[in-house]
Amino acid sequence: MKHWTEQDIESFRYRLGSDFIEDLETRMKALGLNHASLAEKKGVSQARVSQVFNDPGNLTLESMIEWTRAAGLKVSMVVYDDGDAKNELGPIPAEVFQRCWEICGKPSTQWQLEDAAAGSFTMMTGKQVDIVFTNAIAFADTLSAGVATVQFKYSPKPSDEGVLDLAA
Amino acid sequence: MEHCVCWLEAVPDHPPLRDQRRGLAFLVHPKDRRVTAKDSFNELPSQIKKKLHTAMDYWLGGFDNKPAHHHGWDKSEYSGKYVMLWVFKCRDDQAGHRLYGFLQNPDPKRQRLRICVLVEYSLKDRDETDETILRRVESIRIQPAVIKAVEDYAGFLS
Repeated sequence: MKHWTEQDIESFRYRLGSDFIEDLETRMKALGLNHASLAEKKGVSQARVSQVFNDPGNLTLESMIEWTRAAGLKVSMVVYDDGDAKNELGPIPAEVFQRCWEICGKPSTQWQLEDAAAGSFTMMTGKQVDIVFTNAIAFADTLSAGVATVQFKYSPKPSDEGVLDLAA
Repeated sequence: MEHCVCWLEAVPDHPPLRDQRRGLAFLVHPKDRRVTAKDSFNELPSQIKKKLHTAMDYWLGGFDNKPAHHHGWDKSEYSGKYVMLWVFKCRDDQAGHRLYGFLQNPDPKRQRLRICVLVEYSLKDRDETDETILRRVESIRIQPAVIKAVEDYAGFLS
């Protein structure tokens, strides 16, 4: 069994384009931008924005950069090995990488990445939690590869210190 | 399968089961003309198929907060009559395409397991839900033969 994105390059490209539009719309919403305001920033009609957003299969690398920059955002490309060489499961949605990056405190350099993996995490709840992992990089790799589910349990003490139990 | 009134077939080009949690299947029901999902989906233009495949990918991957691609109906809607139903959706320039189905756990031993059984295709020109479709899919969902088909499908998955 092969995933539908394995049928041809167009199919794979369509899925990547859809993920890109999904992510862009999520980021735009967070910034208070809608199709009309993006159209204004990019100097195109709102109909053009809708057309592009409804047909993500025609996006090019150049147009992806143009749309993200118009929204005041950036775009990255990620090459990864998820152990699915035959592509039976399809591409990992960009949202997974985006959320892993956010969970790690949005590092932008190798040093910040190492600090994030070994030290201080800002949880999705907004709580700042200090964690020391015996094998921090392996833990971060495991998380980003999506091969393990980790449950975080935060138990505040009266002293305002926290105890974090990790159950893999 | 000739002795069966109806049965389930895994949706091609997707894993039958993702993370032991979610799977997609077409209901095949030769004597019930209301069951149109499989045949209609196969005849859709490739561009529409890609959109619906993408919506299915998101659901299979557990990305539930994507109402533009797929959603259900909670207890507050229609007096909670359709909480088991689900729809995959997309738009082209002219209209909206919908694949309606229902969620079912075919194996009580695996509590997290959900199969989305696709039942009916619909072409829509407005966003509002047409309750007659929901009523129809719900009536199919509770047919004893359909319940049996879902239970039988659990054997295929294990």
